[in-house]
Amino acid sequence: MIIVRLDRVLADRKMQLSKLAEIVQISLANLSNLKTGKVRAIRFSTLEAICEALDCQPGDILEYQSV
Amino acid sequence: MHTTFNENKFKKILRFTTVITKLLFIISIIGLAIFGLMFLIVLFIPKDVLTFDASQIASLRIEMTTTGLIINLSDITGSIALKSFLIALSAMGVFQSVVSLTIIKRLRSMLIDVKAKQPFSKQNSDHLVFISILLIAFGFVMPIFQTWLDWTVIHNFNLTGLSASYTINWLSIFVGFLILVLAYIFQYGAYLQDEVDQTV
Repeated sequence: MIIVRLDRVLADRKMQLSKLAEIVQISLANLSNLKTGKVRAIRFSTLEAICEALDCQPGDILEYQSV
Repeated sequence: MHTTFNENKFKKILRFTTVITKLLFIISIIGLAIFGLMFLIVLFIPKDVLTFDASQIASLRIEMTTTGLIINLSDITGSIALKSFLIALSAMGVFQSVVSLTIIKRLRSMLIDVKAKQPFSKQNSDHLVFISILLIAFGFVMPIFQTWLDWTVIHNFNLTGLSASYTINWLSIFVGFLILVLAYIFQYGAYLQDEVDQTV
């Protein structure tokens, strides 16, 4: 199971979700769904934009946990 | 290969289809009202009121497109009882109107979703499944009414040497199965749409 740790990285960078949504040009609703793990897939372009905005690695945002 | 979508052409077709379905909806409601009223009125009229002597009717020609039969009333002798014929005709009309109304109502609901650019949904797939089942059933049930109508014509007009036979409407059944296939294509489309919607 893939767990999204976006909230942790946002807290480290002291950035609001709305600010991130504005930077990566994704709706707040979609980003909120991503944060809560309600999405089924993420595009590489979206992951790239988030990593660039938060200055982090994909591994910082995504974590694998065996069920 | 890059796929393109002609939105203007699609909008024109959609507008045209919406107008046609609206028109068909109105016609079906009028048909249902007329046939329904006719059925109720004829049901309670005494048989004698609708019985005529063939010799008193001026020459009249009736064409039955369901049987391909052409009747010249001037060739018929004896009395003609129209009550059962009119009951059969109005019952067939009511059934056909109800089926048409149901199908058109579902199609209109689908067109609303298409206009809102959400054609691939479970709801639309369910509409198509319902329409397909209705058409398949129609292929078996409608010929019953047609046979009944033919039987009343033969007996009321004292036609000899003719018989009414039940013939399944295979075209309706075939179209029903085609629409069932389309329903499953829409169901797959709904699954793909959901995948796209849930991809960030």
